[in-house]
Amino acid sequence: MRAAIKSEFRKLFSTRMWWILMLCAAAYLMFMSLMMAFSLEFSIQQVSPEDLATAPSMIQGDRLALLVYSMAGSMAYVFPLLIGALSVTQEYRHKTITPTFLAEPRRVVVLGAKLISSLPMGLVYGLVCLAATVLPAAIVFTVMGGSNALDKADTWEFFARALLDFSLWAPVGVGVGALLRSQVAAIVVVLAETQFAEPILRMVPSLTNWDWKWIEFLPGSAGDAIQGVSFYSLMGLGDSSAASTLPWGWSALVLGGWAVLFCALAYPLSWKRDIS
Amino acid sequence: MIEVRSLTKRFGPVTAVDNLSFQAQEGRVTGFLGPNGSGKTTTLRAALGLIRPTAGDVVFDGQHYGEIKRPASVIGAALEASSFHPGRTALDHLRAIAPEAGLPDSRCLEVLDIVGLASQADRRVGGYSMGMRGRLGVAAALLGDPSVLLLDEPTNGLDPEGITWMRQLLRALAAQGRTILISSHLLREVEATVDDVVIITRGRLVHASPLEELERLEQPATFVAAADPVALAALVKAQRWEAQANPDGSYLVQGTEAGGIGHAAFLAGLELTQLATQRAGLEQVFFRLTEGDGLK
Ligand SMILES: Nc1ncnc2c1ncn2[C@@H]1O[C@H](COP(=O)(O)OP(=O)(O)O)[C@@H](O)[C@H]1O
Ligand SMILES: [Mg+2]
Repeated sequence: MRAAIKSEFRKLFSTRMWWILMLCAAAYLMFMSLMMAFSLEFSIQQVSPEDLATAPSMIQGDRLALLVYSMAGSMAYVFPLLIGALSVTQEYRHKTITPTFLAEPRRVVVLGAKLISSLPMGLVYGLVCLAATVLPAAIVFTVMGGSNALDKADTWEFFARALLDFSLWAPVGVGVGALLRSQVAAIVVVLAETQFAEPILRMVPSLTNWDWKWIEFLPGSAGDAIQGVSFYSLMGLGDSSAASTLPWGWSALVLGGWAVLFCALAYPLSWKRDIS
Repeated sequence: MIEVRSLTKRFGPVTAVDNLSFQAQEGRVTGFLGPNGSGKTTTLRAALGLIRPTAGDVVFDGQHYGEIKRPASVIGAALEASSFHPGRTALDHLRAIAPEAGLPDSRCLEVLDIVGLASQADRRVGGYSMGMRGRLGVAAALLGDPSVLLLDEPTNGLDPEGITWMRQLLRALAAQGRTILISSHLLREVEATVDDVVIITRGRLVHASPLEELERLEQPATFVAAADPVALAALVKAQRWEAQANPDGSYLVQGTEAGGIGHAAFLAGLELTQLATQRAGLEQVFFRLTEGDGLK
């Protein structure tokens, strides 16, 4: 298993994909974070203290900084998800799955190695994405005389949970990639689910008064619940993460469970299939 | 020794390999030949555990591929010419395989040197020619210094110089006692390399023997020309020789040896200007054995 993991790391880091994808995520987050930090802090400073007191608690005091920082996980979790999925689909696309299975014919070991090696890759994405979000926003808050909340223990606990969130998304991606094998299919499914299907589903309970508890078990909801703060809660559609009744530890298990579920489905349905 | 034992593989309605059995011996290069689509690649993939056979199996000294510990250090294989990520360098491609064969990076450079790619080690494979990819595939197969080599169409994309290089390499490896199985759809390209031939068509075995025995199946033809072409035509007709007429009045006679033709001409009082035995070539034998079975 150790040899297989070493192989997987070498595969991950020997093409340009991992850092190109990471650079995209970082550039996107830096831009969004600067924009949001500036515009939110600016608008709050226009509001009189009495009016501010009636505003939602999530934008008051230190909570504002945390809310902006949470953009990393809320907006960029699709990147570790993609790198995980692509680490598998690339092997099928370029047929390197043949030398991979020749070197390690125990396919379950290869899948395990891909899952395990994706965790630190997700963590690296998390570190970079978090830095790309927090640094520009903290500078904006400090310069504008607001609170950057970096002196609060809560903030650092949030960072740790956000890193856990990022780390877990990469193995979910491995599961999706293993199940679908096709690179195009994996990208389409990942984007359709994360950017379209799940955001809409998650809006339903706040727009209606349907009590859809199962929504909490969707991967995106579970991810936000691990962080405890979601930037999307600002969209005026109810604080879905606060509404989540699952403790963050359980949410981590739910997200990890998706990775395991996808792999368990993939193993008999596609991973064991003929390579020809 | 590699043993293919009653191997059958069906893909839906297509029977790619049909109850195929043959062996490849130690210290010999076995040519695994058949037209395109005859089931060579399928057989090799089944041998390597990449494809699950419908029936039968392939064993290496009695063991299935999946049962061998660190298989890359016992069996080296190169399948298609392009199982590389174009954005990865040759060295990195090998380094990704090396840990599972328990090998250091220095061995990766060594095999690149063996196949003549040492100076290209840090170039991305996307910029490689077909021939260079073929060499890289061989380098990957040699990585674990295996005692068994399986190469699928190793001469594809190689220039004549590359084919000569491949021949010398494979002969040297076989001389060290390794078991080598190479597939090809052209007997000509491997004729000078192989000791044994296994010929299949439509997934079925049609011939397996040492190369010399295949040579015995060759049917020689005799080229004959006479001072009087009209008289020669009459003789050919009278003798009922199986013959092709050339535009200049000469003939290529099948199934009758030069001596018999000379004798008949002598009796007919015909002056021959040329009489020569022509070897049809092994490729002819190969085509005859696999006749009409190639993919259109
Ligand atoms: N994955 C597959 N699905 C369906 N048919 C296949 C598959 N792989 C090979 N075949 C068919 O099996 C036959 C043998 O193919 P192959 O082993 O590639 O032949 P060769 O290597 O001798 O050219 C062909 O008719 C081919 O179309
Ligand atoms: Mg083939």
